[in-house]
Amino acid sequence: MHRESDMEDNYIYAPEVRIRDSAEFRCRVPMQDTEQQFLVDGRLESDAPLSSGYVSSDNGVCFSLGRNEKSGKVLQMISVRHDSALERLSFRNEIRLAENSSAKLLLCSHTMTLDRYITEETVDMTLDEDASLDLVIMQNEHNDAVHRTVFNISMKRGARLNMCLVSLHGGEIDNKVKVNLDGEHCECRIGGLYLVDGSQRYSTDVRMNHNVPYCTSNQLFKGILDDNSSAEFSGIVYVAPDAQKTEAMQSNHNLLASDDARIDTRPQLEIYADDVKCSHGATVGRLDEEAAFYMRSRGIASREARILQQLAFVHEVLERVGNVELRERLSSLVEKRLRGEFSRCSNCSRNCC
Amino acid sequence: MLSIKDLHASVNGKEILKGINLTVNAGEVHAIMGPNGSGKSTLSSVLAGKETFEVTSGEVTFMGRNLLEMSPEERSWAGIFLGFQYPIEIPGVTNVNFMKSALNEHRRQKGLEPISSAEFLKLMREKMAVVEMNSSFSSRGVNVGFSGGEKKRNEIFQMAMLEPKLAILDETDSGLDVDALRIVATGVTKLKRPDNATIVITHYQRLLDYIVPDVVHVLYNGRIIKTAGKELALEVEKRGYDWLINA
Amino acid sequence: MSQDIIQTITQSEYQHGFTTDLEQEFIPKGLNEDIIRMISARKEEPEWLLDFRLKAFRKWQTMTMPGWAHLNIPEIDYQDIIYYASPKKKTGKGSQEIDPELQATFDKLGIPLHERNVLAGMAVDAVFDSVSVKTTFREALAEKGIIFCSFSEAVRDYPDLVKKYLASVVPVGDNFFSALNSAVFSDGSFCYIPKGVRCPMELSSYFRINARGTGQFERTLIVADEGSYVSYLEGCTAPQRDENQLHAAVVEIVVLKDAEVKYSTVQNWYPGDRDGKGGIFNFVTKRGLCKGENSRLFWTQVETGSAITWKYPSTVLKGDNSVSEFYSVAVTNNYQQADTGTKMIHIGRNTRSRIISKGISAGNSQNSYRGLVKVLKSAEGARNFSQCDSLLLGDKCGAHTFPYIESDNRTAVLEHEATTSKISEDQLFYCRQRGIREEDAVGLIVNGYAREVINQLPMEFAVEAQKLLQVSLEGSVG
Repeated sequence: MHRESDMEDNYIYAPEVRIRDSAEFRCRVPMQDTEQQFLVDGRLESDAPLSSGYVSSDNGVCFSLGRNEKSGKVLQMISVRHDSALERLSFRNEIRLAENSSAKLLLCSHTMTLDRYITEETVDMTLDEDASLDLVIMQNEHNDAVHRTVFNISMKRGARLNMCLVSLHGGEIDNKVKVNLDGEHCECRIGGLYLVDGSQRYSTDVRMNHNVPYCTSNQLFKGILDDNSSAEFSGIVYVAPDAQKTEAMQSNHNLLASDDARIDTRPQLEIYADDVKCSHGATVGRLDEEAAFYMRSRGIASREARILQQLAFVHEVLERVGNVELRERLSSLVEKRLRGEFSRCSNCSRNCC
Repeated sequence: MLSIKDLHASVNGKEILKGINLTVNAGEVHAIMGPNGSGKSTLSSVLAGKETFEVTSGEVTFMGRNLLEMSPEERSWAGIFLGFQYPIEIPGVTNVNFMKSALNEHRRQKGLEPISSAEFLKLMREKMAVVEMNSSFSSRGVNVGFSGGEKKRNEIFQMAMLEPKLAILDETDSGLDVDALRIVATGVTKLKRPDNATIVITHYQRLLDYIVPDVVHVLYNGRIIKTAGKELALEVEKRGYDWLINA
Repeated sequence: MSQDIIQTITQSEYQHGFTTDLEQEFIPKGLNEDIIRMISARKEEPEWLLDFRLKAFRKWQTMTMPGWAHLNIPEIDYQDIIYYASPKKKTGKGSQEIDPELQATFDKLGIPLHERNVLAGMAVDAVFDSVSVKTTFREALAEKGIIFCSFSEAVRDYPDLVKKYLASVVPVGDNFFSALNSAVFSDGSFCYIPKGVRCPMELSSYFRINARGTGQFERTLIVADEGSYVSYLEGCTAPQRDENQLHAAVVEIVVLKDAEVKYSTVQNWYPGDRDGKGGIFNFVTKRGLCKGENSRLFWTQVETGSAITWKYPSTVLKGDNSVSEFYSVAVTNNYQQADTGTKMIHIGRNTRSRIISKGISAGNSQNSYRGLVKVLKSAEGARNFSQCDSLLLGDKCGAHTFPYIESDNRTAVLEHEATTSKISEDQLFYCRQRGIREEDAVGLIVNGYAREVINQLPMEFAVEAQKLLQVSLEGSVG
């Protein structure tokens, strides 16, 4: 189904890592200004020399930028499960941005082993005063993979985070995101997209703590559930006493695409300050049948109509990815995923994307 | 009636009014014109007592009283009416309840008994006719779901109910089509009496075809840079503001 | 300046805080099987009901108080409560003669117990502490086949109906408080509307706690048979006391095919004083079952009272095409705490529900909306819309929103929206520019905010509720 030549044409940048003495892993990202590091079973393992900012450890990696440092490149960290003897793996990554620094990061989770495994990952992020981070996380493993990630995010005065969490594939994905807005005038945007089918299970738990006044947060999570998959969303916006002038928005929208899919959603507001604007919304719905009929009456096959509608539904989340090339790449992955062309990925262990 | 001396006002530390001087006498109609951002709306908000604006210096006396020491409702009772550029929506509060609360409070300040329901409805019908408002508006939420023109008519209707001494109409003509403009302007003219005064704040001359001003001021960058008779409005219409600003 | 307003608003007085001085009978403090036998014996109950109580008590002993609500509940000593108190009977059972003291009490509360000075066509069942003291218009209603009486009388006169429906909607072991109620409930109202009958007047229950050291545990059972209609109102007040008193009621509603029930509550239990001392603990289980096709159940509640409210009027939408709506205004002030909302359980096809909740928090209070919308696999085409808004008056209170949305059906469409904000400065300024005083403007805007809910109440209650909102939030009656 995939023609290698197409891939080569589209994705010009394809570095690879030779993992110990076995297979090679390649990641094709269509961006020239991307610097990649491979994290194999939680250890930084790269042929390329470590660029500044990275500090490796046996158990995860730390990336940090000093004061006023701006990294122009997109830094991609590809975490790959490889050792099939290792069932349970825990590691901790750290991202530290000092005052007024800025970075663009892309974190990908992949696998080279088809075995059943559990990954427990902690990502601690600190954004100091006026630091800015664009962060895209792509989760793409297989049906026997269990991946639990805890994001601990702390933001200081004037810090800005634009985070997009795209969960394409995994047997069980659990994302806990805890944000502490600890300095005034922070801006935190989180987008999330989850596409689950088969008997996959997905859960997100977001806690947005507005601990001080004058911060803005905005969350948008969308999911499409097919077959007998299930998903849970729970999110709390907490506004501390005296955290006046808080503006917080949270929404979660879901499409159930099959009779056996199941969704539970729990958006919550816990507010102890009065001069605030907070809102949340949650919906569970189905595809608009009239729109589908309209498309079919114009000759679009019903399956195609359904995919177009689903693409339109997820578009709003992908739009939040600032980097145009990356956004297009993600869109095409999402489209492939929705077209079911992605099953390849759950069976094959390399060249995933 | 109204005397403003060297009025300075700022919002969030930024000075908007930089020394306004203005005197309005009973029976007069003043027009204040000026480009966007010159401070027209700030002036009207400061006169009505909006707390987001800080008066840093200057004096305002109204009917012999120090206006700047009065709360917004006290200014209203004293006879100041502000026709809002963007009238506020208050969901769930009907026009009837709103107007009745306002009118009765005004009456109480004058030592009068609350108005009876029958009398109130009669008065309301009478005043709604001034701006050709349909009586169905009375049971609707204050300004909720009103079109731009309906909101402005509602402002003039409220003015008719409260019979102010000084009406300040902030961009009452903005967003109105020709018919609505005529209705609103005619309403204002009908309410004109020798013992009250009007300040009309506007961008355009067209409103002044209906409400003929005695004095026209041009406000620019927080100061009144030109004051003249009604012919000034026509000149501004023709030549814009640049000739005044650069003069 | 707006601080002053908040102060004025929070200095409200409770209007129904008086006590009635009359001879009352009590049973000893405490809770055990003997006490339950004693309550049952006083009420001359049949064996089956005593069994029901004892089973509930045994169940209750195995349970613990729910801790999931956003409430800070002080420890309750269940052995330190008097579970039964009644005015001493001066006349024989069944007589409609009423003690003049009691008559005066209900007059003072504005509850009409004389059929001639009727509040436009409303029948009342008046419950004073543990007993129903009077039910009005029984004969007029009986002509249409409508049964409206105290729960005790229903047990005696209509045992089959009671047996059939008691605990059919709220099982004994549903929760800690429903189990407690099932063990010790004393009285309450019973209502049955026969097939095809439209109840010609509003039915209402009025609950009054009077005696010190007691709790009130009433039970209400409403059955609307096929194609019938009834509008039911519930009101409640209690004296002003330093102690906390427990109110743990159970309300069960059964709505059969094509029937419609409106259940409205104006809850004004004593909320405690300005420092949070005293007040009623209102831990209530209310649930309706839309059992038949096209059945409809509408809940409306105006919650202004109680020190602590734990209450979730719920509907099980079992019949196909059944409909339920929930409208709520909850006001908390001073140190009041409320955790209230609803549950809509969709089982039948094309079932529809709607939730409109307006929370208003002032003073040092905590006000939470908690609601569940659950769609089962069978609920093809289910539809829900929820809108939950919170308004904060002052910077010492809290407003919280905890919705739970669970869908197991692809064809269901569920929407939930919530907002939290303070009263709009622009609206306040607009009102004041027109000469409305700031505190009146707050009252006006808050009432406007709650209008959508208040409009659901029957006329007389709507006026009452509006006043109550004003009183709860202001220094004087509007």
